[in-house]
This record gives sequence, structure tokens and C-alpha cells, in this order.
Amino acid sequence: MSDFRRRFVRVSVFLLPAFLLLAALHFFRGDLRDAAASLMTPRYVFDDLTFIMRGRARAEQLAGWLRKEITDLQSNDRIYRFKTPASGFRIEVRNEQKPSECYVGSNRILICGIPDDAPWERIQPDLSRLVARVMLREGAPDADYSPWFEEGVSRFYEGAKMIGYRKDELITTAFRNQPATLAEALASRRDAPYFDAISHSIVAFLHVAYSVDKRAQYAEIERAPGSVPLGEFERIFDPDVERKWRDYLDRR
Amino acid sequence: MPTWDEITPYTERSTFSKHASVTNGLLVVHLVALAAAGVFSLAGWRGFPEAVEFQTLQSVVGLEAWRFITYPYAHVLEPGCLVAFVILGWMFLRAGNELEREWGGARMFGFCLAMALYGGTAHALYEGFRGTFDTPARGLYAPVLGILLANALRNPRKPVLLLMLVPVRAITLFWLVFGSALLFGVFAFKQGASPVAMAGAVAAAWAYTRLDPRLDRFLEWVDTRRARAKFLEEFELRAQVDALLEKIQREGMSALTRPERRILRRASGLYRPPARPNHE
Repeated sequence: MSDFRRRFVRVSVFLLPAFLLLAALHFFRGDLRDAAASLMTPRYVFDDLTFIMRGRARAEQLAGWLRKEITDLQSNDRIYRFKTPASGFRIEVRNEQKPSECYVGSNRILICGIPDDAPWERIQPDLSRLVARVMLREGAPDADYSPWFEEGVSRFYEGAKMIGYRKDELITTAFRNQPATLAEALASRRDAPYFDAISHSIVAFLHVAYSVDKRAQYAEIERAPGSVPLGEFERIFDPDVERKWRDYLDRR
Repeated sequence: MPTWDEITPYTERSTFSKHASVTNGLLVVHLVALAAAGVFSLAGWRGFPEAVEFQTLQSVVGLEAWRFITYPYAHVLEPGCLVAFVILGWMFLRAGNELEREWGGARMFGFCLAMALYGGTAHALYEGFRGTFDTPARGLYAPVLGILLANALRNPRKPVLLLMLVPVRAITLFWLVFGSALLFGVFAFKQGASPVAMAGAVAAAWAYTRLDPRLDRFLEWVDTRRARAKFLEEFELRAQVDALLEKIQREGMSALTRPERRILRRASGLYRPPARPNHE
């Protein structure tokens, strides 16, 4: 065996385990492929906020707005324990037509469907919703949130002002597409029809109908590891909570 | 280190390389990268550290493979990290040059890259299992610890100076440095001093030091077996050719069958003189 071939074999044997492990990680976590930002897109860093998007002016305006809203959200919160990720937010804005999303265990937020020349206000709704979701998860990393709770809270805090308010359009949609029972709504998955509207309507209803203490008590259970025990929702709020929720939808 | 009675005017007492070496070159690149980090930090730009640090998502999922070997050059300008840089940089200079004399520059360079790769791989796996991908790995810790272990394992009982004062064994010094680095990494994890990357590089260096001689012996064995098989084949071929030549002498060329002609063709390679170099 020539010296060159021998060296090649030695290097290959030494590096092969690393390549195999990395290849396995690459294929098994294919769900994160969209979370990796393109290096060709400009990055703007404002302390703990990193924007990967085109247009410095848009990024600056978004950073100023988002920083203020995050501060307000945290200072007014007594229920959900919103917390920013230790390594800040990493927000990427793309123009491809896909749903915007954030990734569990990551500080990355992907906002899709925004053209390069769109005004920065168009980014606000999705961004505020996903920021609220990331902060909710960050407050209790071990929590196994119910899908309706996570979606409902993030929809409730969506908007140019992240103060939490009812969205009339979503309430109307929920009224027109009410599930057969509240239990069905609480157990529904993300791909269920009108999931966002129904989840939002439950959270908005709880904010109107029950005290901060009750809501905090329920949020505490959601934050605990594992899913919420059956009947816990009715036990904390009210056995008659379903009727009250439907009344709330009727009075839209 | 030679003892006093072994020292002659020709004994080389310093392992310090004043000549150009890969180790010295890598250290210069580290110093340049540190200066660049300082300039970028003062200017408020994040381009350089962002582009070279190890981010699991970008490296593994986004296929930005260069990060596996560039993250040791992403330095953090925190006091603790700077102290670690000075100590590890000095040890890298000593141990790296010592190792490079035995190994040669190419192997040293490859080993440094491999250590960085294994450090990055360990960090990526840790983040993959943990499910969070927001802590980058930075700094020269992983490759330098790998080099220190490889150097210590060459002669574990060799006396070296701890803090340039206290004589200890090479392997003891390594474990002290490794333990301190891990402890530092636990506290400075968010600043990029990933203890997982350090452990990954050290494990790879240990495996390499243990397995490389065995691999060498295995390759030698493969070579010997191949040479033996070739020799036996040639021996057999020569015997067959002798028999064929006798047949040709007895019965003439036309008496040869097709398989016999094929044997002669194969054997012609044995008697062909080696190609002479063309000097034109």
C-alpha cells in the first residue's frame, strides 16, 4: 500500500465516526431544516434581537417596537410567566408562502409570506404571536402545554400592542364553528379545523369570566411537566364552564 | 526534559520552536482572530463571530460545514475567556511544537482540524439530544485539550512544570488542566466554552492515540498478507511458465492451448523490465 493510500485510510477511519454521527443528526432532525437561516440574507443585530431579513430600516423599526412590547408584556404579566430566551430572539423573515412558525427548544422564529418590500407593520401580527409563544415556553421549559392553551395564549397576545385582547374576527369564527363539546375543544390538535379561533375564544373567555388567581392556578397546572389531568379544567374554573363559554360566544 | 548530567553543549533543552511550524502558524491565526474579535466588538459588528462560531442548526442542518473547523477562532472578549486563552495558548505552543517534531506539520494540522470537528460533533449531539439549539460553541478549548492529551500520552510520566514552577507528571498536568477547563466551561457555557465540545475532543484524542498504533499494525498486516499472496502467485506462475516453455521446446508454439497462452501473457508482466524514467 502506498504511503498516500495508507494516510488516506487512516484519516478516513479516524473521521468516519464523526461524519456518521453528523449525518444521522442531519437526517433525524430534518424537521429543523427550515430553521437554518440562509447566509445570503443580511443580519441585523440589536443587542439580544437578531433579524435575518432584507431592509435595515424595517429591522430597526421592528427591533424598537418588539423590545418595548416585550418589556410591557413581562411587566404586566401575573399569570403566564413570560420569559425571553437567554440568547435572545433570532427572527428570520422570508417571502416564501408557508406558515410562520417557531421551533421548540430554539430561539428562532420564522416569519413567512412577507415580500421584501412589504411594510414592517405587516410582520407584527405573526411576530407578536410567535414571540408570545416562545416566551411562554421559555417560562417553563419542562411544560407540556396543551395545544389549545399555547395557541390561545399566543393568539390572545397577538397584535401591534401585545397587551392581550379579544380578536372579534376569531370569536365570530369560533361561534360559527363551535365544537360539539368543550372537552372536544380542549383535546383538539393543531390540525383541527378552526383550531386557532376556538383556542383563542377559550383564553379570551377565561380572561373575561374568571379572576387572575383562577387563571394563574390553571396556568400553574399547564406549566407542570406532563399533560393536564382530565376534568382539571372544570374543577378549577366551574363545572358549568361550558355553558358560560357558549354564552360568551353568543354575546359576540 | 534532560537531567543535569545528561546535558551537553549540544543538548536541546527547550522544546520551543523558533522556526516556522504549523503550531506557531495556528497560534498566529488565533491571535489575528482575537484581534479581529476586538475590532468587531468595538465597532459593534457581529459579522465575524457570527460567521465562524459553531451553531448546531446552521452547521448540521444548514450544511455550513466550515463552522466545524472555524469555531476555535471565534474568541470571546470576556476576562475569564481571555485568561483561558492565554493559558491554553501557551500550553498549545509548548505541547503542539513538541508533538509536531514527531508527527510533522501535515499530521499536526490534520489532527487540530479533527479535534475541532469532534468537539463540534459532540456539541451538536448534545444539543440534538437536549432539543435546544441556541448555545453556540466558541474558543480554542477543544482542539488544544486534544493536543495536550495526545502529547501527554506519548510519555505520561515525563516531568513538566505546573504554572512554570511545580514539577508534575505530564498526564497529571493534563488532568488538572482538563478538569479546570471543564469547570470553567460549565460556568461559561453561554459564552461558548462548551464543556461537551472539550470532552468530545479529548475522547477523540484518546481514541486516536490508542487506536492509531493498532490501525498501523493492521495496515502493516494487510500489506504483508498482500505481498505474501503476490509472491506465492508469482512462484506458481513461474513454475507454470517453466512447464510451458518445456512444452514449446518439445511440440512447438502451435501446441499451446488458449488457457496456456493466457498464462504466458500474464507471465510476460513478470519479466518486463521496470519502466525507466523519461528525462526528456
